[in-house]
Amino acid sequence: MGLFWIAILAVLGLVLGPAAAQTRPDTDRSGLGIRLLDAPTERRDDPRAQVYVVDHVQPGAKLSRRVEVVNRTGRAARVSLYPAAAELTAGSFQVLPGAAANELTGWMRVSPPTLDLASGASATATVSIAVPADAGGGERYAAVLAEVQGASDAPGITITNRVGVRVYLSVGGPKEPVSDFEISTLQAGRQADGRPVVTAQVRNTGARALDMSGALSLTQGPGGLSAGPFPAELGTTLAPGETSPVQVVLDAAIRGGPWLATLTLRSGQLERAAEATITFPDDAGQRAEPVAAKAVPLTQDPNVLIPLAGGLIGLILLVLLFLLYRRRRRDREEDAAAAQ
Amino acid sequence: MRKVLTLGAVVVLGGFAATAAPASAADVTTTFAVEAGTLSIASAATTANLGKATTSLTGSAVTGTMPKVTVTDNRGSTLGWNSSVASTAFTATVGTTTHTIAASKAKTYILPANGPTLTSAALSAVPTTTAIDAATGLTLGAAQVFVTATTTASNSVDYTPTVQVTIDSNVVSATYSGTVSHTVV
Repeated sequence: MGLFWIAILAVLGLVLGPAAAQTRPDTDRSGLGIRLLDAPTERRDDPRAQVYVVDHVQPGAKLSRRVEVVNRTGRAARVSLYPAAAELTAGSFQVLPGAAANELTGWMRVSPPTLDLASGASATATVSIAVPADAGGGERYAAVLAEVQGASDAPGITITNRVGVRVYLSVGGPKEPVSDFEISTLQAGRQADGRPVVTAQVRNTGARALDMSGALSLTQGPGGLSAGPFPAELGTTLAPGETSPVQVVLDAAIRGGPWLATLTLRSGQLERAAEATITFPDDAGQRAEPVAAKAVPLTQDPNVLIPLAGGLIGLILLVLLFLLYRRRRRDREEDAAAAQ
Repeated sequence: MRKVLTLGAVVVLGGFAATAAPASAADVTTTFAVEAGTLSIASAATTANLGKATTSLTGSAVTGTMPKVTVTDNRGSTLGWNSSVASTAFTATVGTTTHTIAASKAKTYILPANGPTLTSAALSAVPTTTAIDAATGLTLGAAQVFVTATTTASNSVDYTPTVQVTIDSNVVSATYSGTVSHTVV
């Protein structure tokens, strides 16, 4: 019974914990803030779906998501809410200026379009996306933006701030297009400040955009040394078919080589790893030749793990059946022996 | 032994049920509440003055600093953010005539002393920008990614951009106004 109450308290603690953290002091001047309030249940384990609108729908589908807008500018503000077109250019998710339109923004509606927020206040808005029945397949990009304009009465430059939630909407058949990527080469180099850097060329071989994150480990180095893992720099968003570099900056103490470098990259729940033997150049600003990377078996891919686990469980069942069969037979033999 | 066997069979059924679930969930549009915090942007001031330039036959330039921009990411996610910057054309109305300096005449950059600076995060990786002086500055007009966060946890980052506007020899002397927008996603 005591354990039961401890469990109840633990659950309450989990529920109350985040709520208590949301009450911030009035001195918070983080400005205009936005956050996504809901995500689709089937993407519960996808970290991208927790902060972006990432979805795959069929033509004719309607979906809606809520966003919360917070005014921490320190004064009352009129906040405009609208969708704006975005592009994936040079490995970045880029929102176009103003209320730039594309096909996706034409399907989007933000309600209400303006919010008058007192200092410290927050409000919820709904983003509805109605995909026309004749919409073509493919992925489209936009952002739901909240905007505060500076006072434009004074001559000079007016500053406008916008903050948004990215939208990656894929339209197509009942089955979501495959997401995949490959790490083709690893290149060791040394930055102008002398810190070693590994640059990986990553190609999006799937049909959806990818937001790259991950880490690099070094093993089998000089004298058997190992180092890492070092986090990969974020900010690379790959369009389908695009190849872009992903950088990992290492500790200045890492020198020479050869090292066996293993790079693990992921986008959402998709994970791929590759390894190559690299040697760091001695001088700042230098780069070694890129080395072809070899894919490392996907030990953490659910598409591999689940059938593997299923197979193992099946094998255990077979062994159990065999043991039971043998036991039964022995029992029968013993019974027969006893009967004689 | 019979009990062990029953347990084994239950585990197998559980395993296969779990693999079958995602396939049948394709049409589900239900949602759940997300607990992530906010992504925010703040400016130290809502207006800026670049100062004065004297028009000349050979052209001139006016350079000034913009109010400090602060990006705060409380989402605690493994995804970063990027901020982009764009400007409208700069216009001045003298009498009934409107004079214009195109946004493409302006460049923006962040001098190394002005950021980007990580102000609150227990991480050493600082957001990056490639625009660090007038030569590498971004030409305003179209939106371009200005600063990219490279850290993986919640963070707060400051930077103070510099804007330089080239005044061609044919520019009419007047007080010009425009809007510079910072966008974070």
